[in-house]
Amino acid sequence: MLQTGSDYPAVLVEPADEAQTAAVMKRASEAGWKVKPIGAGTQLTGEAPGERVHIVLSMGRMNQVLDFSPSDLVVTVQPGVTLSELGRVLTAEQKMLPLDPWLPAASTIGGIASTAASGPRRALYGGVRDMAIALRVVYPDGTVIRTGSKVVKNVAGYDMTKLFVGSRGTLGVITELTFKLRPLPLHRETVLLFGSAEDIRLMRSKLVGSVLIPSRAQALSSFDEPTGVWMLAVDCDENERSAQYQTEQLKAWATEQSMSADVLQGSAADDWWEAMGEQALGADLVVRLAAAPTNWHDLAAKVAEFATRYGVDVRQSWAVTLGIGEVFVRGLAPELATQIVTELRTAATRVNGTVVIKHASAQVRQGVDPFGPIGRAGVLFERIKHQIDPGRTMSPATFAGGI
Amino acid sequence: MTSPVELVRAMKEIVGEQHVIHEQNKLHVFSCDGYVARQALPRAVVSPANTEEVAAVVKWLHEHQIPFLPRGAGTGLSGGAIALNNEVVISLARMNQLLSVDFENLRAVVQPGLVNLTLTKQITGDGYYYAPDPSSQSVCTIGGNLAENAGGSHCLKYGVTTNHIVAAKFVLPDGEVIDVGQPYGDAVGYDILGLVVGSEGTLGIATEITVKILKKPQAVQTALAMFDRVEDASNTVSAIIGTGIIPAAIEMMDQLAMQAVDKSNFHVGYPPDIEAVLLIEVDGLAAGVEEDAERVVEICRQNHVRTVKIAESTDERALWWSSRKMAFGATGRISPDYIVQDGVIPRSRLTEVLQRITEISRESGLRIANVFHAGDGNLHPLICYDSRVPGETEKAIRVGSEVLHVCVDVGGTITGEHGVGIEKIEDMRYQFRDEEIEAQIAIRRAFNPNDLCNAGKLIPEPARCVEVKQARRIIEQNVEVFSGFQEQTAVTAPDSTS
Ligand SMILES: Cc1cc2nc3c(=O)[nH]c(=O)nc-3n(C[C@H](O)[C@H](O)[C@H](O)COP(=O)(O)OP(=O)(O)OC[C@H]3O[C@@H](n4cnc5c(N)ncnc54)[C@H](O)[C@@H]3O)c2cc1C
Repeated sequence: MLQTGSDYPAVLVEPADEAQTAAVMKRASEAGWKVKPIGAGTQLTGEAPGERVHIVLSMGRMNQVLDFSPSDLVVTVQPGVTLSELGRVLTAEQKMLPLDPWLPAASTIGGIASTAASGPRRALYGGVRDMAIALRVVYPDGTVIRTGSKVVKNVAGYDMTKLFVGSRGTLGVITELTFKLRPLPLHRETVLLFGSAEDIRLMRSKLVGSVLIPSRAQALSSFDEPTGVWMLAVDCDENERSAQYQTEQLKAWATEQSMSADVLQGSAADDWWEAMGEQALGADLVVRLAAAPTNWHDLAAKVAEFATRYGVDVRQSWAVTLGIGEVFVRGLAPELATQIVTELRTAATRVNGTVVIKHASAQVRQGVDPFGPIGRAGVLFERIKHQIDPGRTMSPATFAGGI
Repeated sequence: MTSPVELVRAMKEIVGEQHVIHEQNKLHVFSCDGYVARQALPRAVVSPANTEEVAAVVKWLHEHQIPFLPRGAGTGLSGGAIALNNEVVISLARMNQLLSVDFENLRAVVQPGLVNLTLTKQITGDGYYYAPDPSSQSVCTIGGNLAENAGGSHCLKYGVTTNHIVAAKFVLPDGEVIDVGQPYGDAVGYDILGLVVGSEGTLGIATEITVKILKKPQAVQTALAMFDRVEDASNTVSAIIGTGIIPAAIEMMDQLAMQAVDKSNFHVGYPPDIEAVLLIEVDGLAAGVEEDAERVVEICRQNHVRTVKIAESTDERALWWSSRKMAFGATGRISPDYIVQDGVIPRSRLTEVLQRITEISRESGLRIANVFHAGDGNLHPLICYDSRVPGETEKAIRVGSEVLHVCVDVGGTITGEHGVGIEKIEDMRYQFRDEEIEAQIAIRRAFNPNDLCNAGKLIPEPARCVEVKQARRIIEQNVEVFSGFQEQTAVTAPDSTS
């Protein structure tokens, strides 16, 4: 069942290539049909319910890796390639696209780029906007545009790639994406530190003030543990000797703070992260918060307090060097969901932060804006939308500010 | 029509008497930037002190339909700050303060006129730095860096300006002030900051910029490797990256560039019979950097290096870097005039493209020195010419274009960090199709509908007028037809000409 947020049935169109995509868009624009492009449909539950759409344009058949040049550290793919399939192709040549959002395995690279989804590795490598270097985009009228260039540095013209990344299918249909890559780390090592949120707050401070190079630094609370028990997972993607040094330093700090520590290496580390990602699936509500990293602790306390007050199951995951947190809630009535989003938004706004819904039922997203206030840059959203999609063909009213 | 007197009076009212320049003899300093092939006098130069003054100046100019453009240090190499339309130049030079630093959260807020290196100098004592390091960093401003999406030697590992600016206060061309980006996490909605960075002053003016700051790496090792053949140097670059090490920097110079820099104040003493030198830097945790440096040396050896050496002291490292960073200026010692080009190619095509450049040089009779960010494939061919020889300037410009076309032909771009400005505006057509140019003009229209803000830069006029599409009709009957479908159907190719 496709959750397009629309009560009306729509026709599902699965183009085989860009020419078909362009032809569909041209027809739709001329006819006034509204179009919603989708990947695997795993992230539609994070959007505003939107207006009625007539065509759901599924990019799943366009699932080829088109060009992979390991020596240039560049890969070009179609939007329907899944992150896991791409990972397989890149790993064979000891390369990686350091994007690790916690999404179902079926989620596609087109969907991940369109939502600018990111995961723990953002701590070192940045997000989609830092990795995507070129796109092909079908405009609502069927025109095909190339953005950027398939080389790692380029400043010719406006950086249009960034406009389409994270635009959630409200401007055009992405039919091809080019990313710059990184070498697969020569060595992988994860240090797990256990303690209270306060312990982790102190540890974070030491980490950020140090010369260590965490490639992931994620503070996690778990559904199963009693509230108050936290874990900090810190990765090192440097070579083995550096990783050892980092591990020793973290362990020494752990001893100082009477925290226990555990070390995972190689595939054990990979498996552990994968398991963490899988645990993220299946929550009723997923909310993403962002604020200054030093605020993570207060915001996490707010979340925990809410959970205790209403007796709901909550799990939190915070990228502590970035100040980005995800809150997973199970067994939650829709009214409470609306309330937690509103309360967190108030708390985050007070410290100039943001709260967006990543996943919630349609009812919840009807009750509270999944994106929240858009700030003063919002004046440009309408103007840009009008320039590119004057007929409001693409995913109308599904995005921030009613776009 | 607004009279010049009225303009000057209004500007003085906003920014104060002493911060408006309008006397012809004083305006000459502002007649060009780092691109000297074109010159034009601005109507006036106005130096506001803060965001409010910038907004007031812009608002007034917008209301009076007077063109204007922002200017930082004027080191831009593509002519972005040249007043082609006799603009009022809004100089951000006075707005040069570091407003705040937050070490715990790794952010600094700066005014646009703050000089790039000054930021690093102010936080270096605490062990932090600002990563993007254009060779001009001792003079260029962070506002100018934002506008050009400036790069530098260490961008290979750490990324370019756009990866380091997270938010800005931005004055739109009608004087409205907006906030773009988000200091932490993602801005909600479209990535307006992403469009603004690299927009060469054509979308508005950044007046307050939030940047990431980084902890200085614990250890750094720098190698200087000399090669008999360019090809071996190129292969070394690929092999290092292939082995899984991303050095902080890999820079290359060819023989002509070496001759130039050895005539500068920073004499390294490069042998006259080597074809290429690589400057390779690895950084990170002390425990592992040595091993990386050893790997680099080993790879150089496998690729027939003549000599390779690790810097033994910070002085030696500094000398090597100064020699490299002075390369543009030093070219003036081997040629009366030169043009710096800035194409990017896939790294794997390096050898072949350098050969093509040698051929172009031979055919044209103009010498071309190469000094560049080899790790990124970002070439800087320096085309040597003598403007006193009739026709040679034009020839040099033509040769520059030819080199850029070679870059585009192998799948690259006409500019990696210096921008399009006026210089490469016609080359944009070589890289982009009409629809793509039109799409970029549409973005400018959204920000800058009256085109008063730095007009005539970055995006060329469309070759043919692309028809403005009519608003779409809504055909209710068809809606009904489609809402009747319950089944998921794969549609086969509709006729694309219909
Ligand atoms: C010797 C030399 C070496 C160089 N090396 C490098 C290098 O390694 N890497 C590199 O990337 N560049 C390099 N450059 C180019 C140049 O220094 C950069 O482009 C720099 O970012 C320009 O900064 P500026 O302050 O001088 O800007 P200006 O030249 O004053 O302006 C450049 C553009 O930015 C716009 N602008 C300025 N301030 C603002 C603002 N606040 N808001 C909006 N728009 C604004 C202007 O309108 C103009 O279009 C070099 C230049 C020289 C002369």
